[in-house]
Amino acid sequence: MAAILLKNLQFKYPSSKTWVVDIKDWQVPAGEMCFLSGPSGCGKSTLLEILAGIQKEQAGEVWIGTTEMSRLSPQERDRFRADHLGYVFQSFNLIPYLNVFENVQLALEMSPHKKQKVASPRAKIDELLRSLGMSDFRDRAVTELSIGQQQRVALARALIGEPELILADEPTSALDYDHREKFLQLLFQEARKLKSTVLFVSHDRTLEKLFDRTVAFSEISKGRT
Amino acid sequence: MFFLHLAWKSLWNRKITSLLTVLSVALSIALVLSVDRAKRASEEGFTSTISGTDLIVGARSGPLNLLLYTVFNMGNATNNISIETYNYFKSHPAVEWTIPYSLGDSHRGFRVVGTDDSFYEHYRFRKDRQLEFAEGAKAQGIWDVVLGADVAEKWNYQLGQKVVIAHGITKGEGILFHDDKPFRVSGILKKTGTALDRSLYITLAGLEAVHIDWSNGAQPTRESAIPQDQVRAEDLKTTQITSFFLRTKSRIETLRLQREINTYENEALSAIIPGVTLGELWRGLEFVEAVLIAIGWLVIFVGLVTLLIALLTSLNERRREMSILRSLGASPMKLASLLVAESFLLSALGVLAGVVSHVFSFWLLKDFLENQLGLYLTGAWIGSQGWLAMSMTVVLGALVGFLPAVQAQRRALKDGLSVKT
Ligand SMILES: Nc1ncnc2c1ncn2[C@@H]1O[C@H](COP(=O)(O)OP(=O)(O)OP(=O)(O)O)[C@@H](O)[C@H]1O
Ligand SMILES: [Mg+2]
Repeated sequence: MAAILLKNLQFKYPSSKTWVVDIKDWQVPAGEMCFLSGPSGCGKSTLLEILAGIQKEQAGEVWIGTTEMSRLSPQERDRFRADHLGYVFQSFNLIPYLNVFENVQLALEMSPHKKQKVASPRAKIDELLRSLGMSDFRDRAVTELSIGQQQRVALARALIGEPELILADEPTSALDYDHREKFLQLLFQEARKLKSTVLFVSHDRTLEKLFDRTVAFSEISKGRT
Repeated sequence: MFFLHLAWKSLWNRKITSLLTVLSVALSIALVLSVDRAKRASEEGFTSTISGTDLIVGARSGPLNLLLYTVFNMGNATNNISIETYNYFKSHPAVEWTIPYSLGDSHRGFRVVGTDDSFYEHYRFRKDRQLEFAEGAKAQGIWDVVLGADVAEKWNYQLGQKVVIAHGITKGEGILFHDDKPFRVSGILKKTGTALDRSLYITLAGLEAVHIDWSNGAQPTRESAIPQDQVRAEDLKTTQITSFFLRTKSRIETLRLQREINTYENEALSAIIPGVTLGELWRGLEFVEAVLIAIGWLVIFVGLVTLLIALLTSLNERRREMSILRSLGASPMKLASLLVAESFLLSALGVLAGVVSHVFSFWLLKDFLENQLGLYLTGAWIGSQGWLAMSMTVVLGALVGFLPAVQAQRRALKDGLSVKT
């Protein structure tokens, strides 16, 4: 079964002249760690937003697992994203006025579905923080963390509630090579445990060897690059 | 609910701006509540200056004038009424009691009233309060004077002290003094919070006595002057009074008696029903009240605009935050409701703080207002105006949140997940 299945997907912004994303047929098998690379401005983030149901394609089908995103109403897509996805940004991931614990908790609070999957939310959050080496910072203001620590909190938030699909948009861009690898190990370790699929976007190709599969954006999308 | 928690945390994160916003809402609410309260208190104080009196009678004049110079120590009588007329109505079968009330002299800016025992016995104010003495007793002898509370306090008069009254009604110090015939303080009234506190009370005989050697309003010459110790009660004949208060045996008689007095053949008289004329007078002051209320509402408007500005300016700093919430599944609607929740919290807190500071400040100022300004704070803390202002502020406050909410929603759709500035 495919975790992501795209068919004849076409998307452009109101202001763009050509298709920003134009994918005939592409899929990511469930449980795969997939690395998506491509130069800046080619449309990687846009693709992730489509997968997350934040942008709406003009044509084609978008399947996430057994759900066809393209048929959902905007409200249903927001709900779906909250319930089934984990999302990591490249930086500035956290809500500055919530502490570490609350930032992770946020993902559960936004989704009754995720919350109900986790038997004891508090214990689970603490466990995740521990496995990411962040236990000591549990009640710390996130503004007092280093970038790497912030990204680990963001990862914990994306992992909580056992999302089927984790989308990561250059989450390691602010880290040095060693920390980047460590970050990815943690991601893989947790994702394997949850049997989640990971789609990891970056233009930094030095990371690709750690993934199951590498895809260049230009290979799948024939829009302008 | 986590959502309110989020809104609260977000506000707390911007505590200075939030605090100032709450403060501006609180100030406007406190202002409106206080104006409303002061207005109700002054209306209460105003209309409760006299009660239990069915008619006030004086020489023919406008009703307002008659009311002002008898009850509020303002203005002058144009004419006096004869003692025969007074006695006629005093023993009228429909009349229960009368209080004579003669004006004309003053003491250091306060009026001197000539009256008799019936004043201490029958005069009522604030529903059914009777005059009480702080010290001493009513004026009985010719040279006795009873002081209103304000008079005694202002000049620090004690029982037994000698007081000289001036001829005519003057604002400040008199020009012509009855300094050959000083009065002795026999009693000091308890504070009433009405105009009664700002007068001195002597007997009708006393009022005659100081003028015994005056002729046609002219001071006596050295030869015609009669020394105080030679004034005898038998020689004092009251021939005129300025006005009198009257109580009917049955309220039903009031209108009929009023007509009878107004059409009395022997003398041109005016009789007014105090409550009716007070009501007219108060309505005449309504525009002042309207202006104050209008200012209050303007201040509330300004408070709400401040709220709007605070929310709109915060939006820019919070685009990132909005994107993160969106990535976690918050719909644009939910982001919008977050902002509405925030503005609701701010305005509700503002209203709360406004009420607290209103209650607290009036509690602090209670004594001052009652004693110095005669504002008796009876009645509810918050009147209908206040409730209206409070509920309007909360509702409008929440509504104000819609404008930034709509903007945030539009932006959320445009920005997607990644903020591009
Ligand atoms: N909101 C928008 N409105 C119009 N055009 C946009 C918008 N967002 C992105 N674009 C355009 O779409 C194209 C793809 O942008 P996108 O952000 O997906 O690139 P990217 O591959 O993620 O680049 P990067 O590696 O720098 O993050 C770019 O050419 C960009 O100019
Ligand atoms: Mg990007």
